[in-house]
Amino acid sequence: MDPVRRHRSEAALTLAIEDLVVEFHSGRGVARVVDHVSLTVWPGEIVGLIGESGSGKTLTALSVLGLLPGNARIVTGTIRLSGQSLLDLSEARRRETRGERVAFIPQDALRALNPVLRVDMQVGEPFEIHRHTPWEEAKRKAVELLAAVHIRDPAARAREYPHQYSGGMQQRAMIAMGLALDPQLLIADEPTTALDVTVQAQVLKLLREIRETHGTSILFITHDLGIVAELTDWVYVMYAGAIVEQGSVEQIFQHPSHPYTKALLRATPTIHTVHSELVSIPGHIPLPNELPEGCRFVDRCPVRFERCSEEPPDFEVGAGHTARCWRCEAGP
Amino acid sequence: MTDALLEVQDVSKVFATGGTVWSRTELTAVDHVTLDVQPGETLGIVGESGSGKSTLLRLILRLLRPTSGHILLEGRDIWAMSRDDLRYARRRMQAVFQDPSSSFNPRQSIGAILAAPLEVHSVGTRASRRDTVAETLELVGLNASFAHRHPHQLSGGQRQRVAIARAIILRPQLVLADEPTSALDVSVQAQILNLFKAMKRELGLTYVFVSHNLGVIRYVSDRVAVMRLGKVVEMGPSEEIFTNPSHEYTKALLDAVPDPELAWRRRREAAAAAEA
Amino acid sequence: MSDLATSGTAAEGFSSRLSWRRHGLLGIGAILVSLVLLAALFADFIAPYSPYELNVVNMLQAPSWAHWLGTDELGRDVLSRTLHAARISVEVALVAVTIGLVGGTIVGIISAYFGGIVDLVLMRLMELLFSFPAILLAIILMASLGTNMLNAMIAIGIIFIPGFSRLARAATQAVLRQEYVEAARTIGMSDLRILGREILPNVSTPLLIEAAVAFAYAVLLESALSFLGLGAQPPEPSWGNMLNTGRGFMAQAPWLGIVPGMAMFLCVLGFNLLGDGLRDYLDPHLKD
Repeated sequence: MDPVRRHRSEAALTLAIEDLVVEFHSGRGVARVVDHVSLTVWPGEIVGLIGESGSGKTLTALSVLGLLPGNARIVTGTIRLSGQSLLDLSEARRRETRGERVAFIPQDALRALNPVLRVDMQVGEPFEIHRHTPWEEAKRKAVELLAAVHIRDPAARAREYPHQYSGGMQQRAMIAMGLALDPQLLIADEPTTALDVTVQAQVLKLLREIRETHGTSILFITHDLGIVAELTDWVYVMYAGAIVEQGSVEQIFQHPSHPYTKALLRATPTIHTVHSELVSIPGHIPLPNELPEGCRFVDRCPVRFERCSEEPPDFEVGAGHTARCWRCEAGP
Repeated sequence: MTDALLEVQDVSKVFATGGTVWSRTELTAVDHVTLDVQPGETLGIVGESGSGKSTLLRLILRLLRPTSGHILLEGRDIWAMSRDDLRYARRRMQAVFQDPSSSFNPRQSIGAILAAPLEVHSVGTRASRRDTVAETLELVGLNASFAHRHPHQLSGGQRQRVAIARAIILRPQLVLADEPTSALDVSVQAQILNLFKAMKRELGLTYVFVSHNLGVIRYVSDRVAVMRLGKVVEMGPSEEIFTNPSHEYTKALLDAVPDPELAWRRRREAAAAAEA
Repeated sequence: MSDLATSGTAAEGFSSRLSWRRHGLLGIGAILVSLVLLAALFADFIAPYSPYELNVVNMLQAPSWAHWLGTDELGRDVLSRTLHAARISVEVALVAVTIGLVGGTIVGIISAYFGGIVDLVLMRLMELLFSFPAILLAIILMASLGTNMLNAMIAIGIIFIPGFSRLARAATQAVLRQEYVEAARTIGMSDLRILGREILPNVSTPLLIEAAVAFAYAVLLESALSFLGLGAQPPEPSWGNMLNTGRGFMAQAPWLGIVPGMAMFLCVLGFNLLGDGLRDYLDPHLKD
C-alpha cells in the first residue's frame, strides 16, 4: 500500500476517526480510556491497530459500531464512514449501518454465535433483517457465503449447529456473517487469538482473499506483531489510550521510532532468531487514572529526558509515518 | 539414561468420553509417549490444541494416572512409591499453571498461599516460614509486603510471579510450567520469561515448559518435543528443530507462525516479484 | 488479559458500596429480621404480661390500651404470647437450618469431590428425601419420633439437607474446576486439608445466603406443624398453634388469627428479603 496515501482526497476514505475521546463514568469518577485518537482506513486497505490491554483499541472499534458499554461516553470527536458521520445518527439508523456497511468479527466466535440456532439461520440473518429477504432465500445465500469462506460441504454444514463446528470453522462462519451484505468495512477484534496457529494462518489468508476479491477494508485489532507484519498495510500503535506511532508496515518494522514500539519488538520472542535476552519493559501499563504528567510512556521509557514531562505532539519521521515522542523532534 | 531426572516410558492416557456401558467412546489424549529430561536442561513441549501436552504434564505431576506406561522421577516409578517416598517426590517436583485468575484460592492471602507448601511438608517453624516466604517474594521481584495482599489485588504479571514463587519455595529440582505466559501481555510475558531464566540459573532448576507459542519455546528451551494428537512427532535440540525440522508437521507449524521480522519482508518481495 | 479489572477496584472496603437506593430491600429485610430476633431474645423483658397468665374474666378483649393486641380465649395477652412465640420459631428454625446446612454441605462436598459411585449413591439418597412433600415427611418423622420441639427441629433439619446438598455439590464442582485445587494437590496436600482449606471457604457464600432463605421456610414449617398440633404443645405459644385457635374465633375475635399471621408474614418476608438482598450485594463483589 502506498505510504503516501494520506495525500489522496479525504472524501474517498472508508473510515475516518478524528479526535475521538471516550470516557467511563462510574461512582469512582471519570476514566479516559480513549484519548484524542485519530485514524483512517482507505478503501481496500488492511489497517492494523496494535496494542496491549488497556490500550483502548477495542473501545475505539466499539465506538465505530456504536456498541460501547452502558457507562462509557463519547465525549468528543467524529467518526465518518465513507464521508457520512456516524455519531449523529439515531439508534435506528445506527443499527442499519451495522451489518450493512460495517461488520464486526469478535474475538470469541463461539460466544457470539447462538447455540440453539442453526448456522444457516444465523449467517442468513443479515439478509432477513436488512433486506427483508424471505428465509428460504436467505438460507440459500448463507450456503453461498459458507462456500466463499471455504467451509467444505457447505450445504450440509449450513444445517448444523455452532457447537458442531471447530474453532476455525466458527470463526469462518462469523466472517461469512460479516460479509453477507458486502460491507465497506470489516472490523476484526483479535479474531484469531483463540485459534491454533495453523488455523490462524488459514483465517488470515481468507481475510487477505476477501480484500482482493471484494475490495473490503479491514480494521484488524491485535496484540500480535507477527500478525501485523503478515497481514496489514498500515499500522497504528496504541498505548494507554493514545496512538503513539503510525506508519506503513514497512516503516514500522524497518524504522520503529517510538520507544514503545521498539520495546514491543524487542520483547516479542520469535522463531527465526534467538534473542540472547528478551528485553522486557519495566513497570506496568498505567490505568486511566494513573497516567503520568506529560508523555504517557515516561515511567517505563529507556530514553526519557527532561522534555518528556510535557506531552509530545506527533512528529513526522517518514512519509506519513509519525511518532509521538520528543526524541523524534529532529525528524527521520 | 539412568541419570535422567525424569523419564516418561511409553506412557498412554485414554479417556472414556461417554457412550453407553456396552460401547464406550474413547479419546486417546496421550499416545505412547517416551521422553526424558536431563538435569539442568529446559525441555520445551510444543503443540496445538488437542496435542495432549497439558495431559502429559498432569500425568507427570501425578494428577492423572497413565493407562499404560511408567513415569520415573530420579529413577523411581511415581505410581509405585510408598507414601513417604511420594511426599519426598512432591518436594522435588513442582508446577506453575496457566491461569493467573484461577490458580490461587481467592480467600487466602499471598502469604498463606506461599506458606502452604512449607506447612504441608513441615518445613521450619511458623516464624522461619514467614521469613522464607519473604525471601522467596524478593527472589521473584516482589516486595515482601505482598504477603498481606490477596490474589485479586494483583495484576496478571504479579500473580504469575507469585505462582513461580509457590513453585520454587520448596527448592525443587524439577519445575513443570503449563503455558505460564499465555494469558499475559507481551511486555509482561517478557518479564516473566526472563524471571524463569533467572530462577533456573540461581537455583539450578530443570524445566519442562509447555506452550503453544513457538517463539516462547524457542526462547526458553534447550531441547524441544513437538506433539500432535497425543504423539511426539519430533524431538531434538532446539536449534535443530527450528532451523532444520524433519517432520512435516513441524515444518507446517513453523510455516504458519507469523513472524514480525520476516513476514513483511516476504510480502514486499512477493509484491515486487508480482510487479516484475 | 485485561489488568484494568484487577488493580483499581481491589482495596476498597465493602462499606463504601452500600447505598439505600440499590440496597433498600436488603435494609428492610435486615430491619424486619432484627425485630424478630430482638423479640425472640428479649421477650421476657419486653412483654408486658406473662404469656401464661390466665385471666378468663378478660377473655376475648379487643385491642385496647391495656392489651395492645387484645386477649385470647383464656384471657392471655396476645402481644406477650406473640413475642414469646417468636422465640420458639427462631429456636426451631435456627437448629433446623444448622442441621440442614451442616448435613447438606458435608454430603454435597463429599459427593462432588469423590464423584463416581459415592456421588451416585448419595445423590439418589438425596433425591429420595427430596421427593417427599415437606409437611408429609415432617409428620411421618414426628409420628415416629414423638411430638415435641426437639423432634420438630430434627425433622425440619432433615428436610433441608437435600436442598443444601445440591447447592454444595454444584458450588464444589465449580471450585474443582479452578486451578488452585490442582495446585494444592501438586504441593502434596491431603484430601482432607484440601476439602477444609481450599474448597469449604469458597463454597460458603452461596450456602449462607441459602441459609437465610431457608430460615424463613423453617419458620413456616414449624408454624405448620404447631398448627397441626405436632410442634409446640400448649400452653407454649407458637404462631402456628395461635393461628389454629384463632381460626375458631374468626367471627368474634378476628385479631386472634390475624396477629400471629401478620407476625409470620413479617418474619418470613424479612428473611427472604435478607437472603435475596445478600445475594445481590455479595455476588457482584465475588466477581471482582
